[in-house]
Amino acid sequence: MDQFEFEKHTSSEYNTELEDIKNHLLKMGGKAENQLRNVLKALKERSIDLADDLLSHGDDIDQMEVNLDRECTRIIARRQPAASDLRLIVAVMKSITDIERIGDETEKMARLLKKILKRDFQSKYFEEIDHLGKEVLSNLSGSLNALARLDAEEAIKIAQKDQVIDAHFDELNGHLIKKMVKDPSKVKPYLSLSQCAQSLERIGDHAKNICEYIIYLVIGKDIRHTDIDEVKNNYFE
Amino acid sequence: MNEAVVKNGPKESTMKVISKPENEDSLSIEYTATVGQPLCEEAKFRTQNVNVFYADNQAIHDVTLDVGAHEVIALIGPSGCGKSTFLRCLNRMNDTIDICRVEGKILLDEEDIYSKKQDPVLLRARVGMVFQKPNPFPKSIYDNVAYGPRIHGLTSNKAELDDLVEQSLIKAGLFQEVKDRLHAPGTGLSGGQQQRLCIARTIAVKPEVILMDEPASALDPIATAKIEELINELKQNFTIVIVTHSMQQAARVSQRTAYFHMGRLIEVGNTDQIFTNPSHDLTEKYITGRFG
Repeated sequence: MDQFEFEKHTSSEYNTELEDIKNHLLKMGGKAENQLRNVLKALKERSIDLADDLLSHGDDIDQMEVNLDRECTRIIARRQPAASDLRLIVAVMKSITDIERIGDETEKMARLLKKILKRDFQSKYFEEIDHLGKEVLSNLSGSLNALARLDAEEAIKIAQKDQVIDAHFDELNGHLIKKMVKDPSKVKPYLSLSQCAQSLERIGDHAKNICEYIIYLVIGKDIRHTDIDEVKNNYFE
Repeated sequence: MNEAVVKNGPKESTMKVISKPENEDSLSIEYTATVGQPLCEEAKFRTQNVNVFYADNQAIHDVTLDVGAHEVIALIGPSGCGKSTFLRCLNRMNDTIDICRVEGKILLDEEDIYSKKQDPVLLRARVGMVFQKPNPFPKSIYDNVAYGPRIHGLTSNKAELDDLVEQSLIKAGLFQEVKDRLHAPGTGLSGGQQQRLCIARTIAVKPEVILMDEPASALDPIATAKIEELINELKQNFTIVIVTHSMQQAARVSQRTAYFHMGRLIEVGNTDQIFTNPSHDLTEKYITGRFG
């Protein structure tokens, strides 16, 4: 954190405001991470109760998004942040949108899971989805840790790992489609499993986006829509 | 520690290395070379290794900076950093201070403005100046604007002078507000109007460059917005160098920004880059309010 001395402004109130939004962002990220962990637990334990419990807490993340957006807008209006402070505000405002969507995806997964479990459907692909879920959870946790430490090098490593998740998802989805073709009577549950996998893949993308915002915040380069390997070569080696 | 403290700098830095000062130990900041791009291809002004002394005190250290034609360049930095001193070198206003000595080269259209054959009065007609506090002459609005063209003999008859005064007031965005009272005293106008009158007076002698030393710091937000709008329009015809304490103003009006600190030019670059991702740690600290 040496180069990001948010606490060293002449105005101590400004220090507190910036520290607060950073802490609230991490708290919001932690909530989303927990939701993903819980939906994966519900999947593993085939538990409708756990899925229901998750759905009852969905509003927490939405409310945090609204509060953080309001606080960032207030800081822009009152402080006119520049340089790293401006990049922090932009990164926070961008990240909360992704984190809120992660929350939405976990809720969507919980609803799909309930549908599947009510049919008493069994498949070896539950384990495959669990495996994909663990990879996605690891990336999300890593991106939030990199955010807490403002570690751009770690962020680029995690962003690179999203390629593995995408490949894994493509493979899994290919198998699920084959199953649907083979046994049309089970299209609905397999489609729900496929949608679960798609949600996980999207959560992976959101985690990657957070990594991109960390890199923007730390080195001031917007690396979105550029080749990750190229970014790594240009800025990190 | 003679290397510049460059944060997030490009791999191949474009910084210009300036020779190390003799009395480095007397500085409380690390010696740094200018970071960024101080040079322009189509420069109106070229300043090379400029040093300015007030008696034995050195106020400017080895500043090399080009001012591009038709650009607005903002000079920012904390009080006493030398930005106004540097600005005043550009039309030899420092000549009026006996103890002030300027070294190095300052070229306007590749001609040395400190050469013996340069007449400072003619130079100041080419390089006009607007000051922090509006300072209209105790004359009518018309005479304020007509003063310069009269002493430089820019017009040959009354009709031409009338036209020049009107055009200057129009360019300064003041004509509509004063057209019915051109012969009323200039000092009777509001602060913002007086400042625009001073700009009209500057424009009237058809300068090539306008130097502005905190031109809006004594004005309210609406008058400030009018001056900023005016700067934006004036850049079509003039090159503008503005010193400002308001970083938001620098961000709004300029294409390039130069950051001064303790008499040194620390960083110069595209205004967008300076305010979103400055390369030098000192620039970052200043524009984010971490000095003190």
